[in-house]
Amino acid sequence: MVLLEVSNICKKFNSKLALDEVSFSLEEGRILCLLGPSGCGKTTLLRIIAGLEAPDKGKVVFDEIDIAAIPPHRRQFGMMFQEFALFPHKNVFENVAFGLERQRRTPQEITLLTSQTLDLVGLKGFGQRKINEISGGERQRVALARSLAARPRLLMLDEPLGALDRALRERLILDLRSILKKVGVTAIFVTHDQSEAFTISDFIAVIDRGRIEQIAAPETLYLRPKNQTVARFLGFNNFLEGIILEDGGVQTKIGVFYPDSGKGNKDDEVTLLLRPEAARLIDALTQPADNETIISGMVQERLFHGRNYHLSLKTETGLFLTFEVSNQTPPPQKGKPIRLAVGPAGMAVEPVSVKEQK
Amino acid sequence: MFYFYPVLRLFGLSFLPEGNWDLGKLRELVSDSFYAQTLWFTTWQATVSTVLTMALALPGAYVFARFKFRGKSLLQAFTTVPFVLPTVVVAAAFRALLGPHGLVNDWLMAGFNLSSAPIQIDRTIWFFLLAHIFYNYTVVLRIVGGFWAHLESDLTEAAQMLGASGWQAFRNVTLPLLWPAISAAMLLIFIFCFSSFGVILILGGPRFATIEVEIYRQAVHLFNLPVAAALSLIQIIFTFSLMWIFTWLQRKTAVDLNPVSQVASQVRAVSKVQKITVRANVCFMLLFLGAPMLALLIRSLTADGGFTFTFYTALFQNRSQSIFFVPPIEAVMNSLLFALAAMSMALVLGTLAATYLAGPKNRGTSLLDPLFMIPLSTSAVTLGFGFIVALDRPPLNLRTSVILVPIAHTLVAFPFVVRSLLPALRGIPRSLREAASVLGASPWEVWRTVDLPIVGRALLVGAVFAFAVSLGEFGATVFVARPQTPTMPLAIFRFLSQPGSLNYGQAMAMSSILMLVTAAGFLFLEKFRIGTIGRF
Repeated sequence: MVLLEVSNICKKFNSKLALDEVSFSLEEGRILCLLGPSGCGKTTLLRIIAGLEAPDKGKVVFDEIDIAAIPPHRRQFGMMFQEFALFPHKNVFENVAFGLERQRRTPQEITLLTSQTLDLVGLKGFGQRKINEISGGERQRVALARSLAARPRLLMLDEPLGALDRALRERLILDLRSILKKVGVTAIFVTHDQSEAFTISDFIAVIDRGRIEQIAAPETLYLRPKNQTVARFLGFNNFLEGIILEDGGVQTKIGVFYPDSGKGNKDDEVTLLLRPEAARLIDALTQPADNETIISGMVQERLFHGRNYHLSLKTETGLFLTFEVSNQTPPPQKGKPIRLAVGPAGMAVEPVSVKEQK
Repeated sequence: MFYFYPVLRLFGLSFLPEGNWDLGKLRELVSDSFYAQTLWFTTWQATVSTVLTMALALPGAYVFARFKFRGKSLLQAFTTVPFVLPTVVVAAAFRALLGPHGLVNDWLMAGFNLSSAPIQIDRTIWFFLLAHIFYNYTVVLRIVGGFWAHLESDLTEAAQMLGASGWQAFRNVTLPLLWPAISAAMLLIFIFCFSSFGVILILGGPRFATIEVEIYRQAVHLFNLPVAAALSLIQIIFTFSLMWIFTWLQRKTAVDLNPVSQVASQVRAVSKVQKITVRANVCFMLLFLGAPMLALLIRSLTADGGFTFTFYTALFQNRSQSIFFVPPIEAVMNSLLFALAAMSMALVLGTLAATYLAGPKNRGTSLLDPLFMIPLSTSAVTLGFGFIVALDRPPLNLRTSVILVPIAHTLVAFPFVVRSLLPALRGIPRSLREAASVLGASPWEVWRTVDLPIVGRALLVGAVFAFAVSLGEFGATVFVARPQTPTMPLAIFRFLSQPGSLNYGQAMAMSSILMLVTAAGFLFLEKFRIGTIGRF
């Protein structure tokens, strides 16, 4: 069942367009992630849904009701803020109980629900702590508990892990997903970190310069980015221009590639995407397998990243490409020639729709 | 926008009648060399006071900003006391110390068998310049010192690593960064000195007249109301434009820099030079700021070389037969009642105004911000004068009402409340209110559950400020108080202007009481002070 329906939202700040005709819908119980670089308008979109900003144009329909006229405190939404926005003058329990108190619940209910929620986020017995006495990770949990305690009909999370260090983020994101799924809450999650987005969401909406570029499940997004903007945002840098041949291959400057997911007709101009993990190292004598294409060039940079090597190479035609290759066979040193085989299977190559509109 | 309506209305009422007269009179004033001289003198003494204060207080600010030493917080609290002392008390204290019958002169005369007092600075410029410095020392300490303490010492170190000598680093890095704070402090001091009244009236004597004193003289002694009105107008225009610059500067200072915790940027004095610097400054503060206050106390407790409570007991007796004479203890009661009333009114108005100002920025707030500071910059004399001119006829005939005093005090105290609350309110991250709102709190609940508890301490600071300001208010009260209901500063002024050692002693005694009450209030406040709250 569609719970939230956002249509044609526009918003200007000082005559600069922050959101441009944004539309999407969200089903009950799903987690949607708004992914985009900072300043792309994702937080603004969130604030419009929460009722903290008014859109210049467009509609937000929740549970089949247009909620434009409903002030934020009557929407029964939950929101987790970037810096958590915990009340410094209240302790953990009082923070979590705040929303329940606003609902005029009985003290027994408030105590019960608050401690239940604290248990849920793994903060049993933290109730009487002061906000400035707990660590960053604990604050994040308090903020989550506070936004969940009053059983919001929609939970919004605005870069909820942005204020934490990397190791903590990676641990908490998994907890976050399992808690959200346990509660079964419908949620919108805003982040600029693609790995966060992939971990937590059922759907990802990639936003750039105020527009939604693509909404898809994480796998689809990764395997079939709709255009270069999306692909670049996912961290892909190897783009090759080419033309589709009769046999389905793509003719590029550095050879013919055979993507397994090619769409399009003969003579279509396309942009080919080589994912960084798509290449394997081969020596000068080894012949490529069927459908594999050989790329040869000079090593420009060779960085050891533990699990793999980060290679950047310059092809004979002067193209710069970057790949991650397995650490099993060390690649040649900088300045030495290198041969890579790129296969079609799964993560090999990906035609990026029809050529980007210029 | 109902809440500032009464304030504006009061302003309108007090200024408008003057507006009708001023054009012709203004021209007269400009052409009259005496008034030009007054204006020149006012500006001159304010400039000199400001420069001297800066010169003496900057080293103190440096010491406070950069060093840790024992008793620092106590000393810091102590340095605030002069600023909140009523002008009348400051004047009385300086008399007690350096006046013709002051402690120092008495000692010198006794010590060297001199027949006349060796220090003859009564009724000279130096006397009230000293008082001005005494009064404003802490302004520099607070504004510049506070700002300095938040400057990262890394910056100076970075400059030194890049090859700048200590002095070059100060001149090229520290000074430019400090400049907004320094200029704000200078401006504030200048304004205070520009509209200085009590100090000059009591210490300067008839030879010296600032605009403020001249307004008082014209209005009270010569009954030349139009001239007084025109003078007030000049002063208002002048101070308001300065005030506007001040708030503008202040807003600029508020943005830059990532504040470091003060603890991190402060060290113990290690080298000999550092130790000497710290000690010299601490001694100077103790001596310069402490001596007048101590002298006041000693004076109030001694008569003819002996220790006595005579002056205090005399406060409770009516020795004079004058019909205007009111037992001094009643002045104390009056003062306390007025102060309570003024405090409550100032708190209500100030809270509303600050809440509005802390809200979303628009043309209204940027205009009203300096407007709310007017009572601080408008001299109290002008205010009191405006009151009697404006409120003596219907619809608001309050001239004879006792209510006028607390209202005047409210107006004077109001900016202090606003200034204490505003930084606290502005300091609340927007997301806190939004979080409360999303969690289901209505705007009123947000204010009650988020804003109010967080600014609670600032509110307390504002309350004590308002109370103290009302307690010590002199300039406006001189005009509006009924003869039957004098306040403590008024009573002190009367005692001082009457001859006789008993009157003098009683003035000292009452000043001491007033000083102790305000000082106690502020020392109590220091405990609750957090961050920048309470500074302005």
